[in-house]
Amino acid sequence: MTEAETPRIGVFICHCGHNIAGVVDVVRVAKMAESLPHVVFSTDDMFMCADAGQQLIKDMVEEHSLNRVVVASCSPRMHEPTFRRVVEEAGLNRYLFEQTNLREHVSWCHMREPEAATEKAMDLVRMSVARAAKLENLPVKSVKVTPRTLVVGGGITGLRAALDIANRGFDVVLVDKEPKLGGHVAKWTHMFTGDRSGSEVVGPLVKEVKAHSRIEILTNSSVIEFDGYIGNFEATIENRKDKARSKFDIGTVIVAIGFDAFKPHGYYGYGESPDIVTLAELQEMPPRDRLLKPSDGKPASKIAFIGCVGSREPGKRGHEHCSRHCCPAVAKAASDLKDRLDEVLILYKSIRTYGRGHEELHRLARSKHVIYSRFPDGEDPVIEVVDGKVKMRWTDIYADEELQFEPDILVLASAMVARSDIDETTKLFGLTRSRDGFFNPEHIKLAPLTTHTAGVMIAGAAQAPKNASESVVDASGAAAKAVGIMARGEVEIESTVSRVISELCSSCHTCVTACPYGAIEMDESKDPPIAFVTEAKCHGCGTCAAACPSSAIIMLHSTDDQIMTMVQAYLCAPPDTIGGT
Amino acid sequence: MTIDHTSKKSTSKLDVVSSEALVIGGGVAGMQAALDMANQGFKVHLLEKTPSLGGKMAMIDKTFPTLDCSACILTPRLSEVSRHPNIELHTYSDVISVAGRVGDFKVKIRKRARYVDEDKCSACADCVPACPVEVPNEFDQSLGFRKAIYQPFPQATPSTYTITKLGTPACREACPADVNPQGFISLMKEGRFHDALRIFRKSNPFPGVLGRVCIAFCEGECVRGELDESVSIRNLHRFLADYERKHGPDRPIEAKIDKDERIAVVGAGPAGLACGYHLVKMGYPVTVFEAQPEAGGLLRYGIPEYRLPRDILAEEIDWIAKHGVKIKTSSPVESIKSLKKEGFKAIFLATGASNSNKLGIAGEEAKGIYHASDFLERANSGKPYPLGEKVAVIGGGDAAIDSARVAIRLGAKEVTIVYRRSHVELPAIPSEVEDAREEGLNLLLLTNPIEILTSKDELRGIRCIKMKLGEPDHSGRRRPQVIRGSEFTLIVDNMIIAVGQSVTPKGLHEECDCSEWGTIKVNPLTLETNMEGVFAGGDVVLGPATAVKAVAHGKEAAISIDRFLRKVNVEADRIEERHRVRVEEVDMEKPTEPRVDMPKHGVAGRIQSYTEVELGFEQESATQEAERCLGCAICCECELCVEACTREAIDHKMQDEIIELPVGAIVLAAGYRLYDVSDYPRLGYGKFPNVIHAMEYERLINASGPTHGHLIKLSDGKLPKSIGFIQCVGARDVNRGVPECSRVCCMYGIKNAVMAKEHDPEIDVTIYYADIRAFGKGFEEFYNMAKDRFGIKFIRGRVGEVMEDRETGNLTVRVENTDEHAIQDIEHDLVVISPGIQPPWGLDVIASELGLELDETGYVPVKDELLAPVDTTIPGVFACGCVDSPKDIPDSVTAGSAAAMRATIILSQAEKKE
Repeated sequence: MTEAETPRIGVFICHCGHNIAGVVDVVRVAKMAESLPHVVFSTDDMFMCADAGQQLIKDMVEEHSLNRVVVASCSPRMHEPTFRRVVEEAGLNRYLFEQTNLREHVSWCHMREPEAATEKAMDLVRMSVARAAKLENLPVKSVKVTPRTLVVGGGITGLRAALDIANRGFDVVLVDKEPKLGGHVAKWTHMFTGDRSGSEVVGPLVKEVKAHSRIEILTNSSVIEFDGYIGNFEATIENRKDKARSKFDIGTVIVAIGFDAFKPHGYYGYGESPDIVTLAELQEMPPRDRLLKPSDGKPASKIAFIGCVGSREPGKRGHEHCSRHCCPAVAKAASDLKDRLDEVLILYKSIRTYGRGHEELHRLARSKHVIYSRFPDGEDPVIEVVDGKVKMRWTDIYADEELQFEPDILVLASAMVARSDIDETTKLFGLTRSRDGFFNPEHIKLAPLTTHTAGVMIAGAAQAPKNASESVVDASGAAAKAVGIMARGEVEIESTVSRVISELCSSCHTCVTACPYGAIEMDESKDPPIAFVTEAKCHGCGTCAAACPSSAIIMLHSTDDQIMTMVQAYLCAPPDTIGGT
Repeated sequence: MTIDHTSKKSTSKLDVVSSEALVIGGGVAGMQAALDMANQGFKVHLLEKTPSLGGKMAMIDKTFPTLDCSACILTPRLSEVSRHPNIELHTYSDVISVAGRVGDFKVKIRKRARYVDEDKCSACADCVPACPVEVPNEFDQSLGFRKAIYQPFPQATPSTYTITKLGTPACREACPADVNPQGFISLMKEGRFHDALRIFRKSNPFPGVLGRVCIAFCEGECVRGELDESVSIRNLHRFLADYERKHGPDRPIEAKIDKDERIAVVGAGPAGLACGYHLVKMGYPVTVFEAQPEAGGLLRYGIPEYRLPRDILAEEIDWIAKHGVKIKTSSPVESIKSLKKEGFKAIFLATGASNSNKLGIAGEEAKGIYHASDFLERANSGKPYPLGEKVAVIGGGDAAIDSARVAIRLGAKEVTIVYRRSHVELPAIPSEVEDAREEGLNLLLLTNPIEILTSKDELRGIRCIKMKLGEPDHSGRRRPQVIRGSEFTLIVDNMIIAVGQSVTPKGLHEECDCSEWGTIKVNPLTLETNMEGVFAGGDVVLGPATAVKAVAHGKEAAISIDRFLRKVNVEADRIEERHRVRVEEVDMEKPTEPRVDMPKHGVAGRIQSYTEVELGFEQESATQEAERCLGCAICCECELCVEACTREAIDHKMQDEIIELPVGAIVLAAGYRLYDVSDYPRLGYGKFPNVIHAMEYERLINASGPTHGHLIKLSDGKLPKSIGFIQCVGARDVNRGVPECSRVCCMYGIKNAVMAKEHDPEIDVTIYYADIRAFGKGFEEFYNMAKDRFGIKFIRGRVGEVMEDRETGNLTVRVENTDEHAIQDIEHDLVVISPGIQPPWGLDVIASELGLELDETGYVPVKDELLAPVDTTIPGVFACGCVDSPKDIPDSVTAGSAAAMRATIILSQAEKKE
């Protein structure tokens, strides 16, 4: 069919049982549609979505040489894909189908006004028919997907993701800034749950990754350039030492850059004594039979922890969130250390041992006589360093009195915060961040691993504070997303995208900044430069078209002409086709 | 279970036979796992126990921390799954068994019959108003009602209806004529009496007649009898007939005879008339030949008028005639051959058994002795035998009681039943016996006549002997034995012998093969005699039986004759496999309530005449009695949905289907259950109407819930002014086997509190908590917003007790406020308990099939918490969602993706082999 061909429109009004026909006079609507311009066939049927209804469409396309199909039924949300498939099977381009919603928009919401509902239905059908006449063939496009994933970050998350993808049969490029793989976990002594040290946990994983033929490891390296679109990215990776650069064709990306352990300067005397350390620093102390004081190397016998350091501070950007891992981590460390030390004290605001096995850790610590003492909100413990000694004063809520303690070591359970260099990564991969500073997922509930940049996944503590187990779940999950794209070999991209009419472009860059998906760039090879759309990146939202001051951008399948035709059909209807006024 | 665990080698050497996967559980985690495998190109079977995908998320109103509408974000996911070409849905299905090993599992599943064809149903809901059965809506936490045919929620996927049907109720199973009592009673509850009557008449054309004289096997089996007294089923269908008499039929009767093969029925008793009725309904021209001057057979000539008024009988016979049955009275049939000659293509013999049995003792022919059938026939024809003052009736059946009561009406002063067994064995309808006793009948039980005393060939008395009961005989009744030396004499003027009837020795039936008792031999299933095209039923086959059995035979014969004429196998598939609903399957949680009494004509008046004793129910009492029906089978099979469905999507005969799925990997996503908070009696749940749990609250605030989103108190339907949310109930409680934190309750509790404020900012909202565990992305910020922006009060302390003010229904929460070191009593008018979560019911069964040992709290243990947190200890079996520990939605979804990843690593090895 050529675009010049005269439209021959078929209109199918669905009863949806009694759902539509119980309110709307469908026979009258179908009759009215017969008289509309270009309509060569119009009918009503009990259920258009049923096999019989679908067959009817195909038969009528054949019999009447229809080249446009309008189905007036329910919301396109459910059955637009069904009917698009039907018209395709009938030999038409899927974009030559138009759906009118007579159920949610008419019969269900105007149940008690059948006459007015019928009028509205007639208006909507008349508008749809007018638009249908203007519909154009659009190509159904797909792009090939490079079967290789870039995993950014070699901590426990990146390692698991890389290994899963490689074991599934796809290539992986694993990049880490650090010289050694393993991330934070590799350095930690007290992992929960279980009794392994971090290196015991992550060691076998590193070994497996290193041995895998499908994984290319680039340590001491970072991604410095990243470009392209889903399935067809190009990443430039630079070795931080020798500045050697290499380019990779990449199909999908998993960003697993992890977190920073907050250095709580200004909190509880941190920095004033070597004996005041963060939980991460405690975790990284060399494991030995006796815990030694950092200040003098003498064995410690009393230790205190303070929870929620740099976390849960309302109004303080990047520190409002709960750091999630610390409560069980403190319970684990305290419980382990109590075997070697005389006194272990934990000061807390609340205890969030929420996960599998966490309450057990908490109970174990208490059963070993680790002392838990709760201080009131807004009355933080006072820490003073006097003559090199750490002195603590705080109010215990339950005792309702001020208590004091002099620990040999004070451990601050400091927050997990977004990495200091997260901003670069955010820009590089076109990601967004939420108020907590971490990456924003595509949807906080149902799409926690994907992002608004198709083909780029996030996993682990880069998205929000998480413990090792949760990060590993993320890793496998993100791997599934990446493999899902690569296994198909190609991805279909919507043709309902924006297009720049280059003659009209005034080179103002408005669209480039307006596009939320980074899909528009300036073609600098032209003079003056002209905007162009990378269709694979475009979501068809129309923001650019609305923003363009020169009307140089059209939205395919929602062209100005198509929309204005509908408005015109509504306002200037032929007298015998008028529904409402 | 026959899982083979021997091949625990490294995955690279796996022999993966199937590249298909099974996901058990269609909640949000299972759907995600299915999608992530299907998107990689693997075929996925997604099994869900309930009729729809969506799991608990579909029930939830809003999600934390963004207050997204749960259904709105879930629905696109539902359609994505249902449309995915690589996902095959098995909803309303269970796992039966699992065999095999990683890469090569064989999973047997049962796809339960939903009685609605998923492909034909368009979810138009036309069936819903037709259905008379209402049951508590599980989806709404039983706060509202749904019909037996239902869709759990508007966006249910697959978009189809399901019928909840447990089987066939005991009453229907007990009825020889397959009358559907639960069907017509369910319609009566709704006041749809005409519809109800139609249901009755589907299997039986005598609602009024049998409403008076049926022995009512149904009532003997009625499950309500286990609770208090059986439902008065017979009286209820009598009411239906009375109702139609009073109000007229709702539709005109039309005879639609569109077939050519003429059929002859011999005998216009209940069997013959029923057979004729069912045949004309199929369109056959039927002629019923009756030797007597009037139709009705034993109904007319055997049953006294005070029990069955003649106009009732006449009208119901007339109703049958109006359907096209030609009834020729005073028309004895010469021979079967003659009928065939006349061109009848099939013949049904239903000539009855009206010959009275003899006692077999000397003097039976003496004057003053009558046989019940003659006695009743004469009385019923208005030409009664003369009676003296003292009358003995020998026998204990209905004919005996009828004879005795007729004798009373004829003026006998002293009427005595002589029966050889005890009261328990008395076969007559108990209410009839009761009525007869009211009318002055004497019962001489455990007594047998041994000699008739006559003088000048006239009856003077009966020599009797006392009996005792011995061991049970072949009928299961205890055999009466003579007590020696206990003889005595009963002085009587008349004796009526009512010890059963038999087939008349001579007659048409002799042309067929007969038994030694003179009854016609038939195939019991089809009622075919030895002569082709000749069928027989009713008493001429059974010997003297009951009217309802005769009606049953008439119906079965009609089916046989139709098949015979259509030349299809008469015998095939005659016995339907039906599951009789067991007592333990029935919800007996009902207050006891005795039967509604049947109003009766006063004794003094009634014994003077033949006016009907039982007056019948009024509409109100009929409805009241109908309400007593427990609705054992849930779906009552009235089949009005079938009539309402324009797409012929409903099939009440649908059977469960058992299929075997060969799969390479299994993902467990069976979800969770909420802790039963009535386990904490001190919190008042289940005792106080205004103490509800969080899922009930979700449904109450949901626009598609039972109150359309109006948050009300269940005690009075008023809006609450002050709500207390009690956290950590059924979680972190070692003593109750729930030692772990349930992880989601803090946040959904806060979300629910915020929603209360969104509904009405004036509501005072307090949350009682142990710790607030706002650990996830955006949670702490949400918690702060609840405090600061919405003004929700948070009190730290476990609630000790909830008390109710009897008068106002208001509740007092007693809590130790640990921040203020004080025990406080705080009043609310609504308390919402936030239950913890537990592993789902049935997980243990699936686990044992998989050979998977659950941990002590019932969750699935994972292989390595840190390195393989979604792998179970069984190779090839993965866990996601809440089966391994409580999780919120994003964590469940992530685990679903992760499980998919781990599973596809296995599945992809099968792919490579191809």
